[in-house]
Parts: sequence; C-alpha cells; structure tokens
Amino acid sequence: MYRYDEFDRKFVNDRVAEFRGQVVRRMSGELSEEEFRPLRLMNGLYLQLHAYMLRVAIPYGTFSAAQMRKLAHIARTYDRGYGHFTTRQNIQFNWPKLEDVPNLLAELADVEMHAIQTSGNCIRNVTADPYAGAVADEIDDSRIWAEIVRQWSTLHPEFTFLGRKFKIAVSASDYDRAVVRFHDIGLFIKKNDAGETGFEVWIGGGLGRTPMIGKISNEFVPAEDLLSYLEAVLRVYNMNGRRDNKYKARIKILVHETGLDEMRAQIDAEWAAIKDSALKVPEYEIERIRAYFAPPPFETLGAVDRGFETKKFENSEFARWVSGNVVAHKQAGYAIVNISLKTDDLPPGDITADQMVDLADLAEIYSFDEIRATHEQNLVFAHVKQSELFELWRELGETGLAMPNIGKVTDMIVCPGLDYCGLANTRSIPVAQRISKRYADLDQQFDLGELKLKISGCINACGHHHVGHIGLLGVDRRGEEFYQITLGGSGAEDAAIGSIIGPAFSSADIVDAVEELISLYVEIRNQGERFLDTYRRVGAAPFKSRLYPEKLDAAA
Amino acid sequence: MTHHVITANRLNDGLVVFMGKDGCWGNSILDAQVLETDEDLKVRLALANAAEQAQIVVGPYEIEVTENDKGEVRPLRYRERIRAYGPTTHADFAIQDVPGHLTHLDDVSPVYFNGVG
Repeated sequence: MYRYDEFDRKFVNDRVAEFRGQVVRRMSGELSEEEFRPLRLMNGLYLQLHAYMLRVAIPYGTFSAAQMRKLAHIARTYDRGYGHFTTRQNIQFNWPKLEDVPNLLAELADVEMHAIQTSGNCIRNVTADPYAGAVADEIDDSRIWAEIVRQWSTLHPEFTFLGRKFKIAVSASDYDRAVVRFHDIGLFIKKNDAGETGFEVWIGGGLGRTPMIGKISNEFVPAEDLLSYLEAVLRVYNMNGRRDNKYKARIKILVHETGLDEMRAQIDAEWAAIKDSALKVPEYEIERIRAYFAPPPFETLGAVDRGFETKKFENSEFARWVSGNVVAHKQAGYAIVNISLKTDDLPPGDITADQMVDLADLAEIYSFDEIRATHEQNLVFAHVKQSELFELWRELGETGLAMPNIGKVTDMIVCPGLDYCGLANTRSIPVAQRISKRYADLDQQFDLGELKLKISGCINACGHHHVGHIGLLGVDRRGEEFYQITLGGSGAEDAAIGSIIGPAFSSADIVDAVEELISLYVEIRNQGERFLDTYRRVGAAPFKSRLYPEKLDAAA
Repeated sequence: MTHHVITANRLNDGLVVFMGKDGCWGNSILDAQVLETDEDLKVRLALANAAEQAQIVVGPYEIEVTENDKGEVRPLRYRERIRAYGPTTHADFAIQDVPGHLTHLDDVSPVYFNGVG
C-alpha cells in the first residue's frame, strides 16, 4: 500500500491548517458563502439537503485496517454512526458540523487520508480495478499507475480550475471492473508486441445528462510518456472545453463537438511539444511506486484446499456465498472476497461504525491488512486464504455482512437521492429497498443470475442508471415521484448506454414494472443467458409490450 | 394566497432550520412563523437575508405550506417534507414523528423461486 513520504505529510497537514483558517473566516463573516463555497468544495465539503456532507478520498479504493478504524471513529464522533461508500471508491459522511470539519480532517491526516479533490472542477480521485494485484487476468497492478496519476494530478496548478470535474480510471484487464469507458479519461494497461507496457487511452466517456461511451484517442501510449499524454489531453480540454454552459463543459462534449480525429490531432500536437520534458516517468520512479504495491507475503499453497472444499459440501449457505461473492485469485490457495454492502438493513453502500471496526479486525486477520472499495458500493478483501474462507464467512455473518448477492438483482448501485441530496428530483433508496424486499429470496436471485440494476434520483446519473441492465431514473411529474426505465446498458467490457423503454411509472407502480420485465426475461431466456443477453437478442419490443399492453390494444 | 414559511440551513452545523415567530431559527417546522401575505413574506425574507449576512444561516428561501386537519404546518412539496422531517430511510434521523413519512416495506410482497409462496 502507498505510504506518505515527508512531502505528502506536510502537504496534507498544511492543507488542514489552511482550511481551518478558512472555516474560522467563514464563521466570523470574513468570507461569504459565495466566497467560501469553492474553498470548501476543494476540501470535499458539500452542503446537502439536511446538513454538510464530507467526501473522503480513498485513492483507487485501497485502504488499511487502521484507516478503516479511523473512519469508524469519525463516523461515531462527527457523524451519526454511519459511513456511505460511493461509486468513486470514496466514503461520505452525511452529518458533520462545519465547525468540526478541521478537526475531522486533522484526524484523517493522522492516518494519511484527506478529502482533497473529491469535489470541485479538478481532477478527482483516481479509481482503479478493485481486484488489482489479486486477479490473474491483469497485465499489471493498475494501482501503481493510478498512484502515479494521483501524484501528477494532485494540486496540479494548471488543472485546478477546469471547466468542469474530471475523472480518470485505470484498469489492466480485458474485463472492465471500473466502468473505465465512462470516464473523462479511461486507461487500459496493455503490452505491445515487443512486450512493453503502455496505455490504451479512452477519452470523452461519461454518464450524467449526456451519456457517452469514451473513444480511443491513442491505442498505445508508452508507459514513460503517460503523464505527458495526460497533460496534453487535459491542456486541450482546458483550453478548448466550453465554459458557457456547465452542462456542456465536460470533455465528452468537446470530443463530440470537435470530432475524434481533430481531437487526436490537437492532443498529438500538444503532446509532441511536451513529450520529452520533465513529465517523462523515469523507470526508477515507476519501480519506487511499484514497491509500495508489492504482493503480500503469500504462502506457497496448493491450488485446491481440501478443508475448504469439504466445508462447501457440508454447508450450503457457505457454498452459496462462495459461489456468489468469492472470485479466483492469481495466487494458488488464495481467493478474492467481495463483501456486499447491499444488506437488508441499510441503504446501499451504507455501513455502521461497528461494522467498520469489525471489518478492520477481519482485514488484519484474513487479508494482509488491506481493504478495497468498489465502484459498485461494495468492499473487497483481495487476498484471503481458501482455508480461511469459512471462518471469514462466519465472522462476516456475525457483523451482518455475509450477504451473498454480488452481481445479483439486489446488488444495486443507488445514489443517495432526495433522502440526502440537494440536487435530486426523487428518492432512490426506498425504491431500492422495495425491490430488494421483493427479490429477497436468494434462490430467486441466483436463478436470475447477473442482473445489474442501477438507480439515479436525477439526471446527473450518480446511480449509473444509463449502464444498468435495468436502469431507473427518478423524475418529478407535477410534484410526484416517477421513475423512467432504461434497458440494455452496461458499464463493463460490453459497454452500452441503455435505451428508454417508454413513459415513466409512478413510485407506487415502479416495483411491479421491474418485476414484469424480470418475469418476461425468465419466460423467454435461453439457457445461460443473462437479462442483458436476452434483451440484446430479442430487442426492446417484447419488453415494451409487456410493460405497456394497453398501447398494443390501442394499435390492434 | 398560498401560505409560506422561511427555511435555510444553519451555518455552523448545516441542519435544516425554520424561522420562528420571534425571528429565531429552530429545527421544527411546527414552530415556524406562517406567512399569509406577500407583505409579511417580503419583510421576513429581508430578515432572513440579514441572518445570512450575520453568519447564522445559509441560503434562506420560502417554501409553500398547507395545514393538516390538526392545524399543523406541513410543506406542500415532497422535497421540502423530506427536508422538514428527515430522510425517509432512517427512523433514527426523523426530526418529528410524522405518520407515513418513513418508508414502509410491509406492503411489498416478495416473489419466490419456483412460484412458492
């Protein structure tokens, strides 16, 4: 795991002191809200519907037990006993007092954490594959490169006041577990024919009110040139991106309006001028960062653990959890464990302070003191011995975190919605809870297989509804909550933007509508087809006529 | 005319507040001053803006309200009801006990695999 050096530590502490001064000046009236707002946003502090909200950065989603314990302490001391994991691998606290935030940030700094660049029109927290360093299908540990990008982008003077926020994700696998194609810049680590490491660069992806799949601007940027290439992309965007309309200010609009060929030409021209500059990443620096992400001291184990196989045979609930939440590890005898935060009791992504402490303890015992947050609002223990899976599962169960629903219909991405968010049109969490209750039967969930349902409470699409196999978008219809359904989206390697199926449903009817869609899928699916596969095979028409039969009657 | 109350978030803790009869700000909409005329609304908004200048509240604005059959003030729009009463998903965070405000799952019937149940 990356550890702060002297520069990092001083920089973060200085920033806490600076913000403490800004808060004092705000409370005294020296700064108006208008003046203070951009300053607090640069430190991750929003004013939401009910209170302030602080978003804490977890670079590429990787953190330690000590950091998790500190988050638990913050939840208890400054919040109401909860934290909320987001789709940017961050954590949010919904109830801090403004006057307490400087102390809160100082406590975070004690464990090498901060809230810098989790908001504002800058390069945001860099995200990565949550299975990095653990999964066999990767070319390299994507966190090494996410960390290099993080260091380059942190307080980058040229890119601190962009036209709009800017999000970067890194993956090293053909399987996209980080919605890379829907980022302002998405990076896929590749090897060329000569065996050299480089990056396939996607630009102009995004969700929000204008969803777009990114486009490849360069198929292979050599590793040492990564930062100069990123700088060239950002510079072209910063110079030419629109600032007249915040809804047209993201790079996706610039790419769309400029055209990919012209964008490439502009980026390449800029790149040529800065390629051989201080931005070249020296090999020794790559190796220095790589050392932070060295594999943990794995034991030499057999590929199959007999005790583990026996437990699966003896205990069907354990076997179901393994089949749902446990993924193969690249190291023989180990496994990757997904911990679902989509439980019966709490909103999706929420976790109690007690659970945080329990998970911190378990991470130390079972996963080399390391935890990952995923963009699907779950957590991962990346390196667990197969022989210890049963004990881990039992202990997770004791803290209410053994739900075996990863990738299933109840494992929804859900934005906070109008229950917390000042921008939302409708609530999201209650709809998710009602769908979860309807599909609470695990046999039913496993029969349905992978089904990505995602819910946003407004067009800003924080719930990623555009890339849901089934997506729900909350809309206000004459003062009532309604939900529009999109079908056929995917945020994975088969990236697609969902299509609106028809008129929106009322809050009272939306769960029944979802059930109709799923029932039709069950009736017409072929062997082994996911909901998305069936939808792609048969198209929207059957789903449309199932949802809106009266329209068929009218047409007949 | 529609009746209004004035709301904002308090500067130091960010919590939702309503302007009371005495011009002070409180957490309960039940204690809010109901404004029945444009003239009253204008005067009170000026007072609220002064409170913003004095670092007491942030972003004051008026909301439309009705009265229920018990004579209690109630926001017209659901966004404002959620602000006034708290998130609908956490009973612990409820600001006041309002029937029907919290999400109830009792009327959702699960579907079971193989049609059982």
